[in-house]
Amino acid sequence: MTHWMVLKIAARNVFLHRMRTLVVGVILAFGAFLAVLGHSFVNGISGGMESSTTQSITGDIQIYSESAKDKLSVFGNMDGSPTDVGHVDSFESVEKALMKNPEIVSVVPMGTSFAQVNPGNILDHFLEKLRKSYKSANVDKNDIDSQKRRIRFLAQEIQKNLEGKFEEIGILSAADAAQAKINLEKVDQEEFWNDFDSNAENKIEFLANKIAPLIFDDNMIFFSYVGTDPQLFKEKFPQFEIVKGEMIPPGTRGFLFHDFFYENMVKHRIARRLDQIKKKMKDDKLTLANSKELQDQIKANVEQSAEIYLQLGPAETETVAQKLNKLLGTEEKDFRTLLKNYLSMSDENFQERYDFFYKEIAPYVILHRVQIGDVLPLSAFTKAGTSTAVNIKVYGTFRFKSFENSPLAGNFSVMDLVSLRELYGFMTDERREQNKEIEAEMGLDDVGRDSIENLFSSSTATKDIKPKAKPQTIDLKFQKRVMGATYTQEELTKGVFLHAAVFLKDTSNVDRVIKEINELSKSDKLGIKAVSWQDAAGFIGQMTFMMKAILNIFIGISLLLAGLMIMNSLLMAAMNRKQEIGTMRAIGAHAQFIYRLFFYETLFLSLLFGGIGAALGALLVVILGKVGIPASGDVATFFFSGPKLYLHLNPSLIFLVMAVMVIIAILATQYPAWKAMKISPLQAMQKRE
Amino acid sequence: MKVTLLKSFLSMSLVMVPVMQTWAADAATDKKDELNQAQADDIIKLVDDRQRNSGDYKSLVFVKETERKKEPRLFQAMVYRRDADDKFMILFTKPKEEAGKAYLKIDKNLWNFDPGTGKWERRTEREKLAGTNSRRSDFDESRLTEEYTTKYEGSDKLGDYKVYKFKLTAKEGKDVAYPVLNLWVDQADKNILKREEYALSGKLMRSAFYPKWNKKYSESKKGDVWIPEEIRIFDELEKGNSTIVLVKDTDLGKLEENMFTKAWIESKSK
Repeated sequence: MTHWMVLKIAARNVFLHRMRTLVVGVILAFGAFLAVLGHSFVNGISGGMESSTTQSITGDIQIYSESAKDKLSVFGNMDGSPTDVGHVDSFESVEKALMKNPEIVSVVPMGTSFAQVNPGNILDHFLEKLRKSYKSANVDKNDIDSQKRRIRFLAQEIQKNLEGKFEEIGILSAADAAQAKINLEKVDQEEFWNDFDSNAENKIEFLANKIAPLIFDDNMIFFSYVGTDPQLFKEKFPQFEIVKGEMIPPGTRGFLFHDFFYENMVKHRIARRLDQIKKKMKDDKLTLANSKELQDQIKANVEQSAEIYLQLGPAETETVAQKLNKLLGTEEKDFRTLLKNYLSMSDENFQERYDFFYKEIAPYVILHRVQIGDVLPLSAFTKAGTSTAVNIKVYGTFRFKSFENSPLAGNFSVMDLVSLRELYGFMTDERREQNKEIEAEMGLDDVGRDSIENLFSSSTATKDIKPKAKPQTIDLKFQKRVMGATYTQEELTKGVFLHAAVFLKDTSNVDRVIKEINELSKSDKLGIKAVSWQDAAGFIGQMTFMMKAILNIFIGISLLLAGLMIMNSLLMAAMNRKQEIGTMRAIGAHAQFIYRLFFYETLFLSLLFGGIGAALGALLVVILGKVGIPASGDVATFFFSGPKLYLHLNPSLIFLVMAVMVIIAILATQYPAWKAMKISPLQAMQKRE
Repeated sequence: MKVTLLKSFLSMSLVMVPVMQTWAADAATDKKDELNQAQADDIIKLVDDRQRNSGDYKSLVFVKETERKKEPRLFQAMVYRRDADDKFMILFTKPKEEAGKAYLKIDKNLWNFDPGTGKWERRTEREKLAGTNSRRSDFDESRLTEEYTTKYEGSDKLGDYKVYKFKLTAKEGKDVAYPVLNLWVDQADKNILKREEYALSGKLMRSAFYPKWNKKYSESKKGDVWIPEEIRIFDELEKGNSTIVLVKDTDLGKLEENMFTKAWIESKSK
C-alpha cells in the first residue's frame, strides 16, 4: 500500500474524531505559538540588554585582577554592594601586552563603584550660602539682608507646616517636639534677627542644628560611577554623546552625570514627575483620566507641594500666587491651597499648567539639586571601609544614542580615573609608613579573639593616672589638601585600574580572544583574567540566561503535555479500532503499515496545528515588531532597555519549531503504534463473537 | 557598604559614656557574690549614673581597624565632649590624608567636614548612619536602667577578675540598637569588663572588651572619673574584623567655649 493511501486513511481518522483532534490541536498550536512568540520576546530582551550593556560599559570582554576576591560584576552584587575585585597595578603594561593581539582594537581602563552626594535640605542650602556671604571679603549688606528674609520666611513656612502635626510626626519624641516648637517660636521673634549680624556664626548654627532638621526630607543622592579615561571612553563607546554642558576637558579631573540619572534622580521631584507624565501622554497615549500610574504621580505632586513653597522667598511667593490665581481664575489667598489646586491637574489643563510650571515657577526653584558647573564634594567608601571625599567639578551630562531611556545603559555616571583612585583609597607606600608610625605610638600587641581573656590578669589592674610629665602635644594645624584639578596622561596610564573593557574587531571571536588573553597573562605574568561581557555584567548577564531557561522549561512542559495527550488519544484510538486493525491485519496488512498509519496521523496533527500556532506567533511578532510593546513601569523599562520593546522575527525559529513538532510526532507515536501492531486478526475476530 | 571607622568611633562614643564614670562611694557596693534583683538594678543604675557627666572631656585616641585579609588601617584623632550640651566632636590628626577631617555632633545633628572640599555634609540620623549599623541611640548617653530590664545571671570569672554577669533585655517600646546585652561587671570596681551585643534574632553581633580602666579626678565633678584606656571590639558577624581603641592623655579640664562649632573645626585647616 502506498504512503499516499496511508496518509489518506490517517487524515480521515483525524477528521473523524473532531473533538479529540481539536483538543490535541489546540495544545500543539499553543506550544508552537508560545515557542515562536516567547523566543522572539526573550531574544528581544536579551539582545537589548546585551547591546545596552556592551555599548555603555562592558565592551566585548572585561579584564580584571586574577587574584580578585570576588567575581567581577560591574553592576555590583544583587544586594547592591560593590564587588571586591582588587586592582591591577599598571594599566600601561597590560595595555601594551594586549594590543599585540591583532584581534584587539582597544582597551579602556575602568573602575566602577558607588558614591553619594548629600546636597542637604533647602534650609541647609540657604544657610551655607549665608555663611559664605558673611565670610566673603566683600560683604554685601543688601544681599545678606535678602538672604536673611528668605531664611526667616522659610522658618515660618516650616512652622506652618508642622502646626498641629508635631504629635503626628513619629520621628520626634514628645520632648523633642516641645523643644522644636519653642525653637520655631524663638526664630519667629524680632529679637532673634535684631542682633543677627553681630552674632551670625552662632545664629546660623542655631538654625542649622535646631530648625533645619525639622524639614523631614532625605536629600541624599546615591549613584554608580565608572572612573575611566574620559576621552578614551568617549571615543571607544561610539554612541556616547554630551547632552548638557560640555565634555570633561583632556587631562582635567571632572564628572559627568548620565542624563537619564540626572533627569530622573537629581531633578526637582515635581518637575520630573511632570516630565514623565507628559512623556507618557505623548508616547504611550495614556490619559490622566484612565491611567492609574499617572493619577498616582499627580497625587504625589499635590502631596509634595512643599517642594515648591519651601523654596520660594516672600516676594516670589507673592508673584507666583498672583499668576496662579490668574491661571486658575480664582482668588485664593492661601498659597498652599492655591498650589495644591494648581498641581491637581487633569487632561484638559495639563499642557497649559506644564508650560506654566517651566515659565513661572521653575526659575525660582532649584530645578536640579546638583547644577552643571558645581564642584561636588563627592564621598565614597574606600576599600578599607572609611569614607573619603573628593572635590570634583560636574561638567555636564551624557547619554548613549539609541539607549537614551535605558536604565541599564544609564546606570553609570563618569569621572576621571585619577579621582576614582583617590576615592577608592588605595594604600600607598606613604600611607603604609604612616600606619607603622601610628602603630608604634599605640604600642599595643595584637590579641586574637581566642586569647583575649589573657588581658584580664591581675597585672593589668586598674590604676590611677599618674600625672604625666608632658602629655603628647598634638599639632592641630592642618594643611588643606588641595586636589589637583589636572593630571598628566602618564599619571593616568601608569597607575592602577580595577578592570578594563576590551574591544574586538570581530565580536564572534570573543571566546577565542578570552582564551588568548588568559594564556598571555600566564606566560607574561600580567596578573589579569578575561571574561565575557555576560560574565562581567554579573546578575544582569545571568538574567538573560535565566529568562531563556525558564521560557524553554515552560515551552517544554506544554509540548510534553501535548505529546502525552497525543499518545493517550492514539492509545484510545488503537483500542477502539481493534477490529479495524485486526481486519486490516487479516487481509494482509503488515505491522509496518499499522505503524505508519499512526505515525502519519500524528505527523498530520503536529504539522497542521504546529504550523497554525507558529504562523499565528510569527504574525504577532511581525505586528509587535512594528508597533512595539510599551513598557509599563520601571521594571519593564529596565528589561526592555527603553520605553518600548520591538520584536524581530527570526525565520530559522519557525523551521526549528516545525522540526520539534516532527520529533514530538515521532516520540508520541511509538507506544500506541507498538500496541496497535500487537493486535492480531484472531483477537479482533474473538471480540466480535 | 560599611563605614567601619565611623562605626568604631560610634562604638567608642558608646564606651566613652562609661568613660565618664564617677566612682561613687564604696559603701554602695555589695561584696557578696549573690545579688537580689534590687541589688542588680542598683549596680546597673550606678553604671548609668556615672556615665552622666557635666564637665568637658578631651582625649587623644588611637584606632586600629583590622579587616579580614586586608592591611590594617590606623588613625589618630582628638575626641572632645561636652556632655552638658550633648556635644561631641572627633577631629582626625593622623594620617595625613585624614588630618583635619571631622565629625561634629550637636543635639541630633551629625555633621561631617572634609577640609579637601571645605564643605559640611549633614549625615542624617533618622536612618542608619551613613550606611553603618549604628543608629542615633549609639550617640546618646547610656540609659541602661531606662531602656533595659536587668537580670542577674550569677557570678563568673573573667581572667583573674571576679565578675557579676548581667543579661539586659530591652523594655517594650524602647528603640535601642541592640535588644539584648550581656555585661560582665567587675565585682570589686564595678567597671564593665566585657559587653556582648545581640540582635533581635538572638545572634551575637559584637563583643567588646575593656581590659584597662583608669581613674582620674574631675574638677567639675568634684570626684573621680573612670576611663577605659583600651577597648577591643570584635565583629562577631564578620570574623576576623576587629577594632582596637586606645584612649590616651585624657583631660577633664574646661574646653574653649566656642570649640563645638563649624568655624572652630574649619579654622584648623589652612
